Amino acid sequence: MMSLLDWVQQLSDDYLISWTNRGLFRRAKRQCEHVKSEHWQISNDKIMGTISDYSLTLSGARIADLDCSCGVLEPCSHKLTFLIALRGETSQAMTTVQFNLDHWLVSNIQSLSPAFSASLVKGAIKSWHQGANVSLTAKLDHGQVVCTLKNGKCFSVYLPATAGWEQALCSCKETHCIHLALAIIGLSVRADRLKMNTAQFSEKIAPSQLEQIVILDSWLDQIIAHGLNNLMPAQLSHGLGLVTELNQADLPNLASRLGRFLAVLSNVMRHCIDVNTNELIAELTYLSLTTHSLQQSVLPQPGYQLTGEHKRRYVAQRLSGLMPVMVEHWQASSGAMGYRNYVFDLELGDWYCFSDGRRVDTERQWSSKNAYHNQQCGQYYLNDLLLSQIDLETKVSSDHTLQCRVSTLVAAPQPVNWQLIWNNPLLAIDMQWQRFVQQSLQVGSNKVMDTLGWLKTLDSYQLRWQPHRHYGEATLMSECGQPIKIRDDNKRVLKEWTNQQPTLLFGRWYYDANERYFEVLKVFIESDFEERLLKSVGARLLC
Amino acid sequence: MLADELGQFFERWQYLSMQIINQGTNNLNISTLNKLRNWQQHALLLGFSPLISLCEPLLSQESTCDQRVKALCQLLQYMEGLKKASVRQWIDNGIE
Repeated sequence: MMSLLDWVQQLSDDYLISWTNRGLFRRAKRQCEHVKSEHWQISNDKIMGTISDYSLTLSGARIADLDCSCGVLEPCSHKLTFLIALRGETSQAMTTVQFNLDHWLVSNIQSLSPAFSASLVKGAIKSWHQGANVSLTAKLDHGQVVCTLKNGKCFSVYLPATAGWEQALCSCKETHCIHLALAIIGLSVRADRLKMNTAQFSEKIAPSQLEQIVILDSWLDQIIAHGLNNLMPAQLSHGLGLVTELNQADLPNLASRLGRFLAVLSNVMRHCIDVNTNELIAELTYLSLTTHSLQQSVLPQPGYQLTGEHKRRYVAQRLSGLMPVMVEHWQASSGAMGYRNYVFDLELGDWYCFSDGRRVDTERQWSSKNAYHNQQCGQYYLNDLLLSQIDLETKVSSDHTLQCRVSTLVAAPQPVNWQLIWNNPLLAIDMQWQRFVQQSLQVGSNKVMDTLGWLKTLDSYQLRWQPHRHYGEATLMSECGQPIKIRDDNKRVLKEWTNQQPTLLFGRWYYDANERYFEVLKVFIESDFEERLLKSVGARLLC
Repeated sequence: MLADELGQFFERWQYLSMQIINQGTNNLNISTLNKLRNWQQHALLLGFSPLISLCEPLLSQESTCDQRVKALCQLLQYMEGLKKASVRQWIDNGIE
């Protein structure tokens, strides 16, 4: 049986801060220095003492069993000072229980039911499926779990060394809360202790709702096929009846949109001259899209692996392995400046660019995105520190194809090694050129981004500098034995490259009717990856 | 320049789609069909290739009533998405 003093000993700073707040904790710590605890009555089952003329009693191994005569219901500074002072008292049998996560993990959902209500557990599972993130920091005598919900809210859950729902505490200040359940479920799933059938949590449309949607769909088809010029009053009244039926089938959103559509239709019937055609088309599009998408089957993936607004309309995300390659710095003649950070996807071979900048004056039309298209990049490289601190979690690529803010980081960043890149089939020239051809045919292809590429070479070469043109040129052999002209307008890059060793050139391909060449932006050799990339960059991201 | 071209393209669709909805996909007259063909050419010039195949059921005599309705719905949805995407692009890049 643990004595009360032993119980107090295991209350860590984190626990007490979670229970109160940081400010009160600091104040209590200061107050604690002036406390005299010689006359306190300390026994195994009861501790009595005084703080600032208020008497305090701890009668059980629970925070709720601590009473203060100041009468404040919420945690007061006296209670906190009392607990901190008691921690300083030496226990008769001081034993530190080590934190062990296994005590907290569950192997089936029913294990949670004594402490948590069924609806609360259901809510926690739902938030886990929606992509809530759970991260554990294990300390010697307790564990701290940070639960990040899909909406960005963070809650910190304190798990003491001895398993017991009563002792666990959440920063939302409620006991047995949804965040605690979420933390336990998340940790159990991650440790492979708990298996959940995702299909049973996917949303289903009731048969009566589906029936209504089919009726609405056929009504819409009839209107579109016959045309508004041939609209009959009976169709309109049928539509009005559908609004009521949709409401009865618990589809209020569809019902209200249909109501708006019918209001415009009735204006058409009355031959009003100011019919809002924009609204008519928008409502018709929305209704047809929603009825169509609601009739599709739900994708089998859990919600957190899907992107977009609706499970029935969007596709699963792809797994990418992102590697930042280079930071380019640009400066406009007006004084605005910024950077472009090029990122390569090792799994799919795509290029992304994160760009940002700032202006010096207050032009209303100015946008850092403009700079991405219009401004020539200076050949400066920001220092390596910036490259190592790229934070992908908030970034949106310049063409909006990669939105890290809605994606999930599935694993901790891993080092990128030279062999992984050198042997990557996506770096073969024919693969790269196939991609250029596909991308140049697409609408909105972007020459700055789509032509980025790699060139692997084992040769050393002598650059012929052409001062009147401000660039140097050389020809080297590709892996497949073709001569390739490379061009480099930055002397600094080539100074570093003198030895005959496997070299990876990063740059842009230029292909035109009269000439084709590769413009070198940066040169990588094996030691670059050992010294810099290994310790700094490389992230795997699900997007 | 591109913004002007796209704006014109959307404006033409706005007018054309209203005409198709008014007449009904089963009763399109020759003038509307010709306008739709011209608009299809415009889409091709701008590189919106999926629109070309979506127009086909509306222009063809052999397509069924259901196919025409579905094609128009898809065209409406596609154009709505395209409009939203281009508005977003203009906002991001500043309208020139």
